[in-house]
Amino acid sequence: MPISRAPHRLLRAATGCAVGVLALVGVGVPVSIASAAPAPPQAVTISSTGLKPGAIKHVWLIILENKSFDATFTGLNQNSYLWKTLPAQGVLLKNYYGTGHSSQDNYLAMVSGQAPNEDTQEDCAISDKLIGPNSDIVSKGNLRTDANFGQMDSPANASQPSGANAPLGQNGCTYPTDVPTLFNQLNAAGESWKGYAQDIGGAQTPGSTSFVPDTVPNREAATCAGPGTAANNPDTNPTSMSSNFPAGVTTFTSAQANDQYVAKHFPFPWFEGLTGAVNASGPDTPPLNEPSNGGTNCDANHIANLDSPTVGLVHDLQSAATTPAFSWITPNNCSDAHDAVCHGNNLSGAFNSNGTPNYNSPTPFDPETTSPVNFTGGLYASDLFLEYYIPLIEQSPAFKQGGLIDVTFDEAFPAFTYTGNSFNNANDFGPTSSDQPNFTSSIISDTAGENLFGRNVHFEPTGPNSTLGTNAQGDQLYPGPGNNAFVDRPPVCTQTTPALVPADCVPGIVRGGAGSPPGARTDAGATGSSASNVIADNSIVADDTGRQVTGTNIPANSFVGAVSDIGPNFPTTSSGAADTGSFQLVDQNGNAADPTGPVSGITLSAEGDPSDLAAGQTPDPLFNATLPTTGGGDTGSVLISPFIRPGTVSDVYYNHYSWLATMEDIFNVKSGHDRTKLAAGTVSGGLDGQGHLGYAAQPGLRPFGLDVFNNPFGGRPGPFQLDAFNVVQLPQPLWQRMSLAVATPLLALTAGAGYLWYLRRRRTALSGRS
Amino acid sequence: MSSLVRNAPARSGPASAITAEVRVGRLAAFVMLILVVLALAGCGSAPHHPAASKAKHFGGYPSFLPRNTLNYHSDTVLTGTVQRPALTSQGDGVEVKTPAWSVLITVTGPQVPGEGLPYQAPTTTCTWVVTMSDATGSVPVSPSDFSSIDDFNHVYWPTFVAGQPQPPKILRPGMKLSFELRAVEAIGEGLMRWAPDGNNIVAKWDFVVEND
Repeated sequence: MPISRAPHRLLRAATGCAVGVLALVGVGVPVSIASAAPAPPQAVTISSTGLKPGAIKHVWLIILENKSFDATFTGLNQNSYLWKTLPAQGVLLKNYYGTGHSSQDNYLAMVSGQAPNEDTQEDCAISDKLIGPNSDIVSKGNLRTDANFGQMDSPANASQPSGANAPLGQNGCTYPTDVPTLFNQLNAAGESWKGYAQDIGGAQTPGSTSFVPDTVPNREAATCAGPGTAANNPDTNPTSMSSNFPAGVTTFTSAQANDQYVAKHFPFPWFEGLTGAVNASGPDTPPLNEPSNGGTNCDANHIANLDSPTVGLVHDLQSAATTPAFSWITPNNCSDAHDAVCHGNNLSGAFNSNGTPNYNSPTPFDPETTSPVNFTGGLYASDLFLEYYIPLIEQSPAFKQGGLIDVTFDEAFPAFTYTGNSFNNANDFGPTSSDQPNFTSSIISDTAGENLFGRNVHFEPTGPNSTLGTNAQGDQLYPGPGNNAFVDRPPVCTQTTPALVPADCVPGIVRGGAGSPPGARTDAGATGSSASNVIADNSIVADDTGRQVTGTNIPANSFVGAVSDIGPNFPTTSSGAADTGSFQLVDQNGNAADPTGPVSGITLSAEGDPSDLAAGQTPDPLFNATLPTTGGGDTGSVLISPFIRPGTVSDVYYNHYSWLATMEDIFNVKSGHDRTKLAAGTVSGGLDGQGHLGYAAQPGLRPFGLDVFNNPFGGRPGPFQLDAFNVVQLPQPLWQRMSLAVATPLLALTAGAGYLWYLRRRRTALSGRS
Repeated sequence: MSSLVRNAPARSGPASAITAEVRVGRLAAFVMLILVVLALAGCGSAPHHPAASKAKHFGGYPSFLPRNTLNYHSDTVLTGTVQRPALTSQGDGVEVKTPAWSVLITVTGPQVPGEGLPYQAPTTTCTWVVTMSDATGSVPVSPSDFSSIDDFNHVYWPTFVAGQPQPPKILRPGMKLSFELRAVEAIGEGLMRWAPDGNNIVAKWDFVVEND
């Protein structure tokens, strides 16, 4: 055999061998190598999230408090970790909305899909009593015939003139046993979970250098870390949230120095489906179900102090086997950014001088045993919390196995944007540098958002207990999920005794922003002329719209129309304005109106109820009672996972109901075994048979999809296409799905084997000749 | 006869060449086998970055996380000047620079009473803590140099807290001081501002008056 032909023989041999080996290992051969026809298409529906079932094996939810997207992800604050670092590691949801104001209703909605009532909107400030029995769950019909199917209809509404929206203290805050939660669904699906919270069962007291167990014995001793003593039960012995505190307790709804945990931010104790119901003689009704891995919903293996060395987060992260499938993490009222000044430890002492977390001193992985160097709260404190714990999660075996970290906020308090002051001066870097807040952001602080049937909408279902009802004049009678928290309203209920005026209003719950309707105001600096209907007024703000305007050369019956606040300005004097404001002068029909001459200073009227105007008050002819205060505002959210491309952004509207649907789909809870019929639906099937609870079962509601899980094959390219909200994986030979790291050596191996085969044949041939 | 003995005399001939080829082939096969093993091992666990703050018992960060995000950077200390006042959040320091001096100043707060009560008043008493250090010259200290503005453009003028020791009127190099300021303000968002000459603002701290 001529040596010169050896390479050709070698090539043929190697090719033949490679084909043979590939055939042996069952790998589909690309058409370019083999002429075999591809198999007929067999599309495989993956899931609504775009992920293969079971792809995400572990979820950590870290929920923070009361910040708007403007305040967190646009650079207003120098919170370097939340704003700069985390979005660069994952996806930033620019339009993620809370479902109401204030805090607690958001937490409860996230885990159950239940809409707010006045008591949950006010953080259960009066009593943690039961909202009502199972019979008050809307159980007739179905999702198609009744949008409130499955919602808890507060029986307190029945005594109201309106039939809805009972005042604070009358609704209750705890749901009866037939209202299931995500955790019941995980139980039935055989998935593990745990609720971690800072300071449950103990805390570091100021001035001490060690963790003190049970610092305030009866502050969260109720079942599942509920408020009050172990004797608390919402049925017969509810805890008073505002008086008659146990010894050592100064507040249940705010932090105290030796215990910054607040039960209103921890959803578990507010559902008897998890805690069970207790009557005067003892346990009455058991929980809906118990964890699949043993124990009870409220035992130490499921409700845990975050830093416990035996059942806490770091302990559990040591191996994937000890890490729950779902971890709910509630920082305390300091570390969640709630308190501007922390009552206790803010973890500022848990970092080395170079800024890295100190995981070892004085007690390993317990930052609350360090002495804080300051007591700064807000986003400063939440950054410390995130910087300490998220690296631990990211380095854990469970995260690498298929983890998802979700950092979000419960609701959006308005950032400093009414007058354009929340703009940043550090917008030259970061993934959201193009996100410049503007005056409309202030309205977003009260609005809703979700995606229905592929369309972003600015509304959400209000539920039966917090409706957006109006009277005949268009005045809003009830606050809606947004609770009128940040928008001035024409006041109603101006008379409460001896009779309500108007007769169907609800005392105390309809009010203007900050609790009072706007009074008359003089803007001395306003200027204008007959040449334009725009009045320059640096004091004008968005919710002045509709107030009557009077002044020299202002036509009669003129009102504030569209408001514009442009900024930021950086005032160089104390009296300087931080924005440039103006508004259009309009008549009562909303048509532009020109001043009759120069304008120098104006007066805005006080607003009042059209049906009961006081002296000096005017109605708001432009008031649209159906538009604002429909939700919890845009908080934004950031998610990190191998299934998410770092540094990406989604503009799709999501809210807490979308989040719940996403978790239910990720863990495929509909495959669970609990099909016992409840007042409405079942634990595993939810309300829609697809495992969605409450308003997570809204027809057409979009869970997080490919815009969020934008790397659905975890780094491996794979052909897929969108089919409505489903991702359909196309048929694909294994060859194409193999990573380069596997394919290249395998090819090399087959080539080498072919070469050896050639050498062996050649040696045999030569031996034969010799 | 062993193969070694049999092949030994032929090292310089054709048989020797064949043996060399076989050895090269075996070596190549062995190397490739190692590569396959390594590649397969790589499939089981992603390569890890050197951990910036490697946790005990943990295996480092997964490879998909951008390396430049794995090192902690403390909150930025902005520089504030008359020409470009710094805007940051309460609790963060600002290095204020003027032609005559520079100083590191931090405003923290507000602390408010009566949190968590069923009735939340529309205004409350707010207390801030101001800390100043690292002065390079004589820095004026006066409560009238501080003002806050809320999101309705209302301006408040805080004062020293009654009963508290009054800070010196001048902060000199080497000194560090901390004092409290107090004002009754509306709940909601606001900015605390410092104008060390009483007129020109050099730094602003965003805060929230929150009493729920």
